[in-house]
Amino acid sequence: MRVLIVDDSRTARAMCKRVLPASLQQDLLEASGGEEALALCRTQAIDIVFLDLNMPDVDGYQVLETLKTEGRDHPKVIVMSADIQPEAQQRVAKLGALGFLPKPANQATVEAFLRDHGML
Amino acid sequence: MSSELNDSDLLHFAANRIEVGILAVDRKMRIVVWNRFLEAHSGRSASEVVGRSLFDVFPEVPRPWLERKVRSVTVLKNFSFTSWRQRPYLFKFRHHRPITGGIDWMRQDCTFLPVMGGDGEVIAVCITILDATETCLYQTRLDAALAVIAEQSVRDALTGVYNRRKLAEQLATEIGRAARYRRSLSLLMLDIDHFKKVNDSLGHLAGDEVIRHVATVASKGLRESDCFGRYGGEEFVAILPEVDAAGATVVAERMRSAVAEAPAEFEGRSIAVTISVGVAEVGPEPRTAESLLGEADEALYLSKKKGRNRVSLRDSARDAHRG
Amino acid sequence: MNPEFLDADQKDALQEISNIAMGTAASGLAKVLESFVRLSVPRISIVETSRVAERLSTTLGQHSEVSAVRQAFYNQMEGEVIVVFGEEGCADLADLLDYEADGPEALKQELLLDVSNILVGACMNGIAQQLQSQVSYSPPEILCSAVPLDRLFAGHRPTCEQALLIEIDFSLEARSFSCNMLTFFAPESFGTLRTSLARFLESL
Repeated sequence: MRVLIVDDSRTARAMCKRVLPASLQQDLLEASGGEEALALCRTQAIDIVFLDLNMPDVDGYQVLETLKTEGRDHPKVIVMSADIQPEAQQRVAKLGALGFLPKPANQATVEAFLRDHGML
Repeated sequence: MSSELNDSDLLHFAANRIEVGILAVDRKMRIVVWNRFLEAHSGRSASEVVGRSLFDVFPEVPRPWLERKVRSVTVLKNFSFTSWRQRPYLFKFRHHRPITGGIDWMRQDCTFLPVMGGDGEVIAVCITILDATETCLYQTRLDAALAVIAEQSVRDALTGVYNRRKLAEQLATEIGRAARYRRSLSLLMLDIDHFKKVNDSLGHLAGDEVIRHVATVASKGLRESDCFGRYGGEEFVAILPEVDAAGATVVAERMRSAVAEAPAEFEGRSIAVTISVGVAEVGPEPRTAESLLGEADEALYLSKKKGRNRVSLRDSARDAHRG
Repeated sequence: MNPEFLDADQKDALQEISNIAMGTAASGLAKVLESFVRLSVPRISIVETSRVAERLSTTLGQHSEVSAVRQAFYNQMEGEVIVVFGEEGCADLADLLDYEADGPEALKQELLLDVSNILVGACMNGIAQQLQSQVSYSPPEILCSAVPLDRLFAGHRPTCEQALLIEIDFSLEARSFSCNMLTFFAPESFGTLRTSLARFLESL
């Protein structure tokens, strides 16, 4: 599975990588912003995106919206954000995200989520 | 206590001796802990209150506010605080200044601490109560002293009316307001006639009394919103918001006649006094304070030239000529 | 201490740690206000304390008047947090919490103190926890009330020349309420901060 991690913070991308199961660490891409992420989604065949919300310029909400407008149901997007307000979670669900994992995520939660969605 | 030192016993001992109230409530707002400070200040012993709802025992405590406060600590698992500066007290306790205090109840600073249970949820909220009465009293005295100093800095020492600095500030404010909301604004400048003669013939003390007298009489009829102050040695200014030239002329004439009809008194002597007044109105064009004062000054000069003890507007013929 | 005492990785780590902590803070605020809270990306810089007010005019300049709350933290990390509220939004805040907008000044101040306390507690606890540090707090207090921005620090002189500043802006959607949280770390904490961040990065 090809995985894309999107976050403007290098630390956050490292933290995300660290909690992914080994099977998802084999084919891993990174983007530091929304625009870069969208470009990669269009040109590379990405299976799963781990997406931050709070980014300068094009933020996570805009990425979700654009993917939705472009009628893509692939890749599956899992939002990984520090913004844990219930309304944030509702909004990303409406925009087509598969799920929401609060930061800082841990290995167990990520594994459980992936398993529940048949991705492991 | 046993003869061996036990830290938990010592802490318990200290908690009941310190000058801080310690109370804890459970999720249903029932009192769980009530230390000696609270017993002493409330007159209710721990055995009387523990297990009962705080609001049953102290019905004067504001219930919706306190419940909301405790709930936010429970939900957010975070400290919270109250300060006497916003909320004078939580409990009506007597303070330690029954004779000298001048204040009704003890002032209190409170801290709300979440007490975590084994499941990671908040099982109780501990409230500490500090007596802040002394600080409150110091602050009140300080504020009063500062207020006096602030007042003094805008007042003329001799007459008690506003001083020149305050007049300048106020004029700038009023001009701004008049321009912004398109309101009228007028200015009176008045000057004591033949003042030098009073000083020279009767002495400076008599002169001071005349100045004081004029300040009192001239400012008597003015409104709260008017600003009257001493502009120079024997010169005064009155700022009249919401008043046009016609209205200001009426006020000025009232002032002039009041002063003319009320002689000053000094050491048994009666001293006849009159004033000359100049009137200026802001008008629809934007004005500076300087130009307005200048116009009033010119009008005042006109009053002097015409024989004193009168009210004048600046000669509009001169304006037309200048224009 | 070298002004740029954190390297690029450590700065990035601090930014992400702040981001996570602020997320919790926003969530707390959202729960209390029952409203959606917008968060900006945290901005980290070293500032000269004497020139802070100048700097703030770029981010806060749109407010004609501000009120601010200050709260200190201490123990393993030392500093102060100042939460600045635009005056225009305070009526909204009162409305959201069922306080009368034209109520007594003391009630409005309590409101600001409570909101500030929620943000500071959540944020500092979040940062401290991730850095495995302990912090304690002083009670919050009103720093200024309804003054023009350049009078924010009037009468207070800084005790130190420099500080590390983390800035985050919170606002509510469809409401004029906004506030800016300024977290200042005192120079005494620079060493501890760097060590904790280095340790944090190593664990990744």
